[in-house]
Amino acid sequence: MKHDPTFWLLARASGLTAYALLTASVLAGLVLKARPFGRALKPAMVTDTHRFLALLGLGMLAMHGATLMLDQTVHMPLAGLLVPGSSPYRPASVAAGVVGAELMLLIHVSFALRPRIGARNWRRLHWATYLVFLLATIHGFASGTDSSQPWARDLYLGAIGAVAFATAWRAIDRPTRSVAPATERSS
Amino acid sequence: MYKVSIDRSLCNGYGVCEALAPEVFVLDNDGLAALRQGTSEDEAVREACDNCPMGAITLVKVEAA
Repeated sequence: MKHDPTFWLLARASGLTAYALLTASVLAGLVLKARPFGRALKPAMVTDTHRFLALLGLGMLAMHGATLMLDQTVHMPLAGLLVPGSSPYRPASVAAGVVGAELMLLIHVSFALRPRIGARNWRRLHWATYLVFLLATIHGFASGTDSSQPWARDLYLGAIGAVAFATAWRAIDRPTRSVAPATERSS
Repeated sequence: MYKVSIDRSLCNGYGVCEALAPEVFVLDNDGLAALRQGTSEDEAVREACDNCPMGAITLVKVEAA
């Protein structure tokens, strides 16, 4: 019987889509803090977009894992998707994806846990997003079947370039948002 | 009476505080919450603090002098 490639194609497409959504979410997060568009964009709207893109990305990751398990091209047990290094297929680069995905989920969930862990710890944890992006890039490039294609290479280079540019913008152009001025203090 | 403070690095300008307690909170030119007054006796500030989506408002209960 001829092998049905549906799940294999879905697995590759969902992996690439998850990567694109992660990149878009990182960019939205950096736009939120650097505010390159000034007052044209409401911070609350950017926050919602940032979180929604991350949630969509996690949804795509779930689909990426599910379709890899359903597909027969590479044998991928559930443990291989949850425990870094236990994948029979390209264990090292799959481990990068597993750790990245678990860290991304943790960072997303940490928003709701903020009252418990404190805003400062939440913000510290948020820096790990850069590690997620790095791991996702390594995983995509090293595990991905399409990595040798020019369009896939352009996708990775474009994502790295965009995140690096937005990070530099944020580092250089820090908006002043330090203390809340009380326009009139009551006694 | 409550002493009110806002962590502006957390505020993302949802404006919930301004809607709930407009006497105390206002969104400034940056679109972020600022204080009209540093203290208030209005229970609306407690509601604003509880409902801030970013958890950026801190209240300290102080005895009125």
